[in-house]
Amino acid sequence: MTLWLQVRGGPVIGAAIGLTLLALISPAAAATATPSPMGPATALACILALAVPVAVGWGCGRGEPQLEMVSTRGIKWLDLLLACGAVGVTSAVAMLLHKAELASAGAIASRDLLAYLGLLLGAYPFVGWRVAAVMPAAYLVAVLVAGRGDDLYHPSRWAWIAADGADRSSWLLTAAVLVAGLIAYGALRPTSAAVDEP
Amino acid sequence: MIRLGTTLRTMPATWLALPIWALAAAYVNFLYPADGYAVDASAKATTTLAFIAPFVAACAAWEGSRLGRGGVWDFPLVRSRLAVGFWAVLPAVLVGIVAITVAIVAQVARSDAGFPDPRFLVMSALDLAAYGALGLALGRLLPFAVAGPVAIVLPFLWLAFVPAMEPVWMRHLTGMFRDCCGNAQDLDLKAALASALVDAGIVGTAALLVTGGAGALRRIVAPVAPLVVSLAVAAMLVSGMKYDPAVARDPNALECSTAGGVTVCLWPEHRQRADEVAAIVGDVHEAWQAAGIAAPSVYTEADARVKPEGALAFSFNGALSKRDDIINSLGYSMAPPFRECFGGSTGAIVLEYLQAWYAAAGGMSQANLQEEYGYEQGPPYPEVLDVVADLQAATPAVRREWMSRAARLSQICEGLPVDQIAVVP
Repeated sequence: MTLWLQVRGGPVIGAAIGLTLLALISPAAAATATPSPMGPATALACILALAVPVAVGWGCGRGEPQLEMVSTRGIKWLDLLLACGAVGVTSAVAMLLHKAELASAGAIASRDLLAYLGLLLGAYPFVGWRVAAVMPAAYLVAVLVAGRGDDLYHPSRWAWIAADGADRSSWLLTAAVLVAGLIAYGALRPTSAAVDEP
Repeated sequence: MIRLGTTLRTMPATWLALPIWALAAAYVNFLYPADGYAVDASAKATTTLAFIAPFVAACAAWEGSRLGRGGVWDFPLVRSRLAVGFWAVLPAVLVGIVAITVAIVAQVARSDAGFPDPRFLVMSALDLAAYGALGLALGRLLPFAVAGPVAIVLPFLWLAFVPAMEPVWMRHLTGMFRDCCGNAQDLDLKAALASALVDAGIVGTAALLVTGGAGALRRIVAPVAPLVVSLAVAAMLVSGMKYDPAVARDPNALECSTAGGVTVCLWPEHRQRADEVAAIVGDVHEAWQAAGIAAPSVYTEADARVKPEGALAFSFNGALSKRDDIINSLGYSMAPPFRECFGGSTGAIVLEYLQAWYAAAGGMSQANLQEEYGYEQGPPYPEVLDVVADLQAATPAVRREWMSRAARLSQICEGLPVDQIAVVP
């Protein structure tokens, strides 16, 4: 167990959690910008929320997939526990900070962390951890470039991660993506591309 | 050099080339078309760098990571590591250059603007080379699970968030020229040079990072130096510039015609409407004279900074502007310039009264006057169209006194005497 956590880069993931929460407390996290003529106004917190899922993807990709597939311990489920634990804790604390009025963009980060986790888990069976970590970032850039909806402050439905933290439908979509990601992770057998990664 | 077959088989940049080219062509449909001006159309199309640059950087990071994972980087190489990295990253950069070329050509075509401006192609190619080098360095130094997302987000932050920050001149360091250029403007070469310097700094830093030797000086301090130096020099070049990286366009390109003592000079992009616009300007000139307004005899589309002494600089959109829009533009230009005051100008509100009066006196229709200036001012200010109606009923002498007074009031920074806006019969 200790060796597993060591291989997964536990301290680095812990540092990513700490730094993310610290950054969320700073007023800059709530700063918004409209980065593209077709993009929505987006809080910096949307980008900060990437750090923990990326760190988890990096950590889980540090193992030896072929060996771990036949290990006596359920490494796959330990990895899921790590991913959900690290992202879940960060998301929960971000929301608490928001409720305590310490992080005005905490709700946005809390929701986006879960959405990124869903994308990460959903991509893993197809491309492995190494490339799965890229998916949330690619989705984020797509949102920032072309995700504007009715106006600057209302993103398109598919770009819900840029919505306000109090937007209920954005939380529903996040929940749907997270559940889909969990199902894909649990039910799909990783492709050879996912297992063969050195 | 990597064989074409290998490139097509192994590199994500080539797998994703068609989608990124299609996206670049489609994205420009969301931009406003330029007014037939190739410089403007080409500059606006560089907005697509916001996603092309992350694409190039991420693909380059993948190649950098692959060189490490395959053990190639650790072999005793015949060629220098820089050469190996160059050939590995070249396909991604070329795919990016084709994508930005597609975007520029598409935007120029839909703007009916002739041929793309090659300066923006060159600037964008330099940008993409820099992001390719940055991606390679990230891929070599970090695991791909980290390098990939960083390579995607970092160029995006640089290209999209820096232009949203103050001071506004910082945007001229990014290599994206979406704020350039109206028909009366041309690209300021200082901005282009600053952007090229930063690109060179990024390439230099990336090259030193991937070839860095042992020791903190060679691994950390030396690689950062090119970027810091280039940023400092580039910042000196553009500091103090406004949000648009533009200078006045050469007025020698204007095409002038004179009729009835009125000279009208238009850009070649508006050649098709020259007769119609000259007739509108002639009508406005006549109406202004009849209303007691000292109308100039030369009307030009040149930038106000280079217009001839005594001429009136105005602008319009060749495709969209109708008669009343042109009259309104002339009225807008007749009013004194906006005075920049620390903390804002209270007198600037008087400019609206002047613009409305000049537009009304020039013959703007009542319906469009109502639409443009019929909003409610609220106390203590008089309604704009009430003042205009008073002026229309007044004698030329009263009008002249009011115009002189209003022009003076419009330049007041603080303490506007509101009661002086009204017309005194």
